[in-house]
Amino acid sequence: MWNVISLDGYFEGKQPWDLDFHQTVWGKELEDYIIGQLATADMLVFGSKTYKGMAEYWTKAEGQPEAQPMNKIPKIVCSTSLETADWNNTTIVKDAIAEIPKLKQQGDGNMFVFGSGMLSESLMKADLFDEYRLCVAPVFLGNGRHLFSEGIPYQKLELTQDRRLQTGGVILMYAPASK
Amino acid sequence: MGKLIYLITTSLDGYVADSNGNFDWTMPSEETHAFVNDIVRDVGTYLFGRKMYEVMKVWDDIPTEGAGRPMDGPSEAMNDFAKIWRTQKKIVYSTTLPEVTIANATIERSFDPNAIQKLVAESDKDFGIGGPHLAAAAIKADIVDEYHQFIAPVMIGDGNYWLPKDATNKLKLVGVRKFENGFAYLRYSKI
Repeated sequence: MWNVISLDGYFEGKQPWDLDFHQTVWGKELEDYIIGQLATADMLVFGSKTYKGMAEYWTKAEGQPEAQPMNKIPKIVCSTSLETADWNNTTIVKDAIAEIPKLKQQGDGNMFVFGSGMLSESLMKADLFDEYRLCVAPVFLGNGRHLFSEGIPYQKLELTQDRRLQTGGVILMYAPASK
Repeated sequence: MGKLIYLITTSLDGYVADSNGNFDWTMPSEETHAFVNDIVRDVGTYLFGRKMYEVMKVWDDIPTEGAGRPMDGPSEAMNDFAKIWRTQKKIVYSTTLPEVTIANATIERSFDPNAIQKLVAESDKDFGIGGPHLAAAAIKADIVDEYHQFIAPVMIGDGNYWLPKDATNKLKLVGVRKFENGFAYLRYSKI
């Protein structure tokens, strides 16, 4: 999992795609981190809402350093209703909980889930994440959607990395203690 | 001029206690406890909600030297904390408690952020505020000068959240640290 969250735990504000708070941590350091992260990825995993927004954005973002890997890396979109997915190199997966463990076995690279709040919640409940990577932004949003929703199971973690960014963001990396 | 400090240990998902009121996973190590001691050494007065008062009042009875009940063999950091604790004033905010039974403590029936802000500004020492419910009133009034969050390496899923809804603010990151027990520490100040 990779997500930027506010200090009060929101990954988006009240409205869908209300992500203005990302600006508080955005800069060369975070961009380099994200590019480095993408270089280790062999699959990107999305829920349908994040997929649509990302597809719209990245297919028109030529020139940005992340656009080439974002468009090229194989993607899956987890949706029970989506019939077509036109963003380059996308496969539709109907049953994420059944398919993702199988896909994890394939390839040597990392699978990343970006955004995708509802999908992330399902994956947390199924204990399918091997790593949680967060960038905590130094803001209180006061409202919106919490990344860690109520009802996710108790889980012991191991803090594997902490990194302070010059912008005031903090990258924290955790692995489930059981893995 | 003092500072108003909100220092708290939370789970990664932001809870200070689970829905049963359990917070075993917040227990500090000797290393984190000693680190907390150095932060609270400059605190002259604590502001507590009723629940936090109930949790913290045990520190009035813990021996500061050697072993003994209620905790067997207090550690060096615990002894140190108990000594610091005994020099500090406490103000307990509760509408229901008839009285407070610890030393150096007074009881208040309502929380007035303006009055506290003035007290803090006039004080040489810092103020600590504890318990998310009481802290929420101070955070919403934007009188908290520093936030010290210790993140225990665990997800809880449900419980008492460390910050209120509807408070918006931009803060300045002043420190990050990782401890041997896997706790992360994030320190922010008001801009």
